[in-house]
Amino acid sequence: MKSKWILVAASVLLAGCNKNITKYYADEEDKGLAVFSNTGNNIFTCYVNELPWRTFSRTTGGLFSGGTSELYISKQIDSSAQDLLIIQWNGFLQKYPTGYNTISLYLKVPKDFTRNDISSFQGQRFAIDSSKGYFYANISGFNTETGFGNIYFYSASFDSATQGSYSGELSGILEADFPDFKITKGRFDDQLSVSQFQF
Amino acid sequence: MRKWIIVLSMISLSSSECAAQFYIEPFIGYQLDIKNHDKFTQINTGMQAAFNKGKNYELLARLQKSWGVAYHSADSSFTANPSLPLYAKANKTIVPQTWYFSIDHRFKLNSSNNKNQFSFLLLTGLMAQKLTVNYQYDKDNYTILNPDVTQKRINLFVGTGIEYMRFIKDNRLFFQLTVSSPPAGNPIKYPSSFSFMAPLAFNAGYSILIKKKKHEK
Repeated sequence: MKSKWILVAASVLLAGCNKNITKYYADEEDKGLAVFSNTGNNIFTCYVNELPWRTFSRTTGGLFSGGTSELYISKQIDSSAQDLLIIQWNGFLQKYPTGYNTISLYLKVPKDFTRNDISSFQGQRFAIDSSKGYFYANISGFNTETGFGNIYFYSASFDSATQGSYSGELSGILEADFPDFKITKGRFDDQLSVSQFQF
Repeated sequence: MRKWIIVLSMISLSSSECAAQFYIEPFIGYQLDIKNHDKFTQINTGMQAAFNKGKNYELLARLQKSWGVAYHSADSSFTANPSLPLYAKANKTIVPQTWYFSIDHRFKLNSSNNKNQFSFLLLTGLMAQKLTVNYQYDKDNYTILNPDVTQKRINLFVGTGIEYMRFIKDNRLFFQLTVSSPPAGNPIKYPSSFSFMAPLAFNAGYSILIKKKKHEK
């Protein structure tokens, strides 16, 4: 009888636990950054004026709480000819681990752009200037600014492996110049599910 | 692991106390790695002390350094900068180095033969492996995708093998073919393109008699 209750309690506890599904593998060349990977490590790291910055860890949801993600993808729709696809990473400067920062790419896309069209980025390298969009960064200790730069999508996919079950990946590298700071050596490797999409 | 090191040391010490016949055996050799599709090769140098413990058995204390032969390959590196080519080759060099300190066992299979001897070998001890990874590429502009990093481990290993020995007066010439496990432990906690080596070794050495049995003096 006692062991049954222990099992029930253990199950409840386990169900209530959030699991960290971010994998951080340190880059030996670029201190403080994770390696550039395409294995679904759910992390984006970069230097902001030579200071290491990384995303929060992604967690699965438990019984009593929802999961968290380092990445969200949304769309800004207005009356202009194109919409803005927003790829937003949430994280912190490793020097200030309690901060809540964002680094985002605002990319102009056709009005009919859907989640599945993420796959069209695969292998593409974009020079982000005012004709294509901009980068936006809100980093602890720096002004909130927009800037321009470059991004390369090594992998980009979102499709249905089985009926009704969509998944994908997004990996690549980026760099951006802002009026008061620079983002260099950026590398991202994120798994995609419907949870990352807000459109 | 510390417990096993103490046990191995005790076996070694207790055995050496009562050795009646004692040989010093320098050896050299070559080994390749059967765990990574022969990717890594090494040159072996070492010295072992052989304690004759009876008609059919010798205990060996071996110290070995295996010098890595550099393994060259290439990984992919990329840049987001549109003024540069998207892709560039990153030349990769992996140098595997290994140290052994082991207590080995030589079981003689035909001890009645005066000229030739075949033995079965059992190897047990400590192995330290370090696989050093170096890249040559444009580090300022490019980033390597899924790079390898240097891996090192020291832990227990086991091995086995066969040996042919030719008697030359009081001394002995020997040839060994052995296979060893990688150092014990969990798989590498990194998405590495290689794992720790499991060496298949061919060694040749010379066994020099240092101390004869009392009745042979």
